Amino acid sequence: MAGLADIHVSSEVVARARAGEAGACEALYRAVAPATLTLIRRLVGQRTLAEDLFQDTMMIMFERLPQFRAEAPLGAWLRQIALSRCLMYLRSPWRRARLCLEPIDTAVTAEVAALVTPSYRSELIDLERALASLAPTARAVVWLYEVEGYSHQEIAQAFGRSISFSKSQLARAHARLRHCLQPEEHPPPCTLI
Amino acid sequence: MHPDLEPSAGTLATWLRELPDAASAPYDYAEFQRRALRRTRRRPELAGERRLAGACVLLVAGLAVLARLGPFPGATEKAVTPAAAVYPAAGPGDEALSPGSGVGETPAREAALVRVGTRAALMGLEDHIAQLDDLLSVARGERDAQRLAALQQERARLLHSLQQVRYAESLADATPPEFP
Repeated sequence: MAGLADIHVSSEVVARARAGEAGACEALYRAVAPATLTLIRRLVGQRTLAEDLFQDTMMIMFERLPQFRAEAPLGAWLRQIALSRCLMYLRSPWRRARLCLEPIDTAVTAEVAALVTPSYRSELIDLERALASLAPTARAVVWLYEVEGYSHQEIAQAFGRSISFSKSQLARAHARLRHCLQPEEHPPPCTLI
Repeated sequence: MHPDLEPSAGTLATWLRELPDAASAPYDYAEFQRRALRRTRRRPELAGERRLAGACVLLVAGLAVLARLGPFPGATEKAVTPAAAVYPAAGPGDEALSPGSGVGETPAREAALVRVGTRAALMGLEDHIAQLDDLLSVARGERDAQRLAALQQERARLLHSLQQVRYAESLADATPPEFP
């Protein structure tokens, strides 16, 4: 997978975009938008919400582009912005309140939330759906730990919780994913943990 | 999927890293600019709305405090006086029920049925149980019998609570809603 941090944008395009040239801004947007959306979508699940956070992230990127000093690749810098937006959302009391009050049809949610494109191999479609069936916090913990390389301590700090919280979320999410991926005659629907 | 593979933690991590990116952006650059412009324009409006909402919250909070503390001293006498005329003269043992005693002045509040989701409670309990499991493993390693017993007792209590919440949830699911 070519993650957001691996995306290379030429320094010339960045410099022109920083100067406000419309063509360069568009080229920059086209280069980073798909990977940014993917990262946000994997962390928060819902498509509409992901698009909202994506819009925020891209706006912040263009606003702060003059401050970008190219000490790290642009993708890595943008990834930090996207992650901080997503974590801010996942920590917010509004989200927790909504989670308590909203009835959730998990089977439907997983189907809708799964980010499946024609480029997928069949086994990865199952994994994507299993991932989408996890609760947002558990999904974010799995993604941050396994893919983004966060430690338990960093995840605990990001969520303002204990290291035990991170470990238990990860263990339960792994169990849930394994359960969802096991071949069965009549597989039960994956439900939120 | 993978009938020959039992996905281990390592395999899962590898598969997760192999998940491909979305093929394209959700919308093109022109649409992005349009949305950005709309948000930028809405910022001052939102600031005004937030100030208004804040004022409303303060007003409601003020009214709630007033209602909690009770009516103004003058208003109390006026409210009680007409009612006192309706009540018959109280006997020596009827102080508790007399109009000025505070009992029976306000009508009993109607019970309200409020349903809230149990997911947060369930997740919290499951988190606590998972943490206790970690602590139990440590206590078993240290062979601390007293701590082990205390932790097991706490775990049993939490499991009991979890069971009760789940039972309540199943009852709530089975009960048809009374109010549309």
